[in-house]
Amino acid sequence: MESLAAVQELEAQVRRRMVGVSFTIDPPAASNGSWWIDVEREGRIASIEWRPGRGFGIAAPHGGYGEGVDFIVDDASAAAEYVARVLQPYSSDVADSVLNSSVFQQELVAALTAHVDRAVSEIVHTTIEKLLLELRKQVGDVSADVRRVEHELCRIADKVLAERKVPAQSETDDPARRPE
Amino acid sequence: MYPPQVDSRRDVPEHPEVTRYRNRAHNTFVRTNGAIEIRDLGGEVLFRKAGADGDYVWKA
Repeated sequence: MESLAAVQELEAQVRRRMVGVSFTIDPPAASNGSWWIDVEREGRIASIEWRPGRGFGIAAPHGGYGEGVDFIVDDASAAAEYVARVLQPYSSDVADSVLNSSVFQQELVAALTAHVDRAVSEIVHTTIEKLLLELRKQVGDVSADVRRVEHELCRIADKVLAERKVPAQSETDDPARRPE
Repeated sequence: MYPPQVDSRRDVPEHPEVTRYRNRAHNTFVRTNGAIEIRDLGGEVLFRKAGADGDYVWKA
């Protein structure tokens, strides 16, 4: 592959994989010399050496003086894949920043609270269903008394669930009970 | 570890007496008087040594 075409292919392959990158292309003085393509993203630089007839040499950031490339690949796609991996933010840093985000923590608390509310509501209503089922077995389904009891149980269940949310809210307002 | 190689040689615009050699993370500048200067890719000077006439690569 002709050198300029190879360098352009590499640039296209990298841009296809990630945004926010800038390229510095450093051509040689001689036509058979090596090209260096420095790809920068958020302060990190991955350098690729293109040697005519040999392929793309990949170099991770922070190389020492006089060090060669880490390895050589034949095609621009493989080189671009490595560049994309080198320039991706560290996954552990991303995870830490997300976990430490107050917005994320609030969303987590809200999601867990909603989940607990749904679970408690299901338990209460399942218990009522069991009580009603037992009652129907004993006195029959059409009894006005059964319907009155059913109505009363539903009212009690709604009241229990509504009252449960009041102390739950006050707990989060109490600074002494806030999680650290 | 490689010293500056011929195939990594570059001309320096407006400084015909200076040759730049590029490698992985550094540029090495050599002046015809023998002065040497090594910079990282960010341009920070890591090392410099005057040539036989006492001048540095950029004479400054």
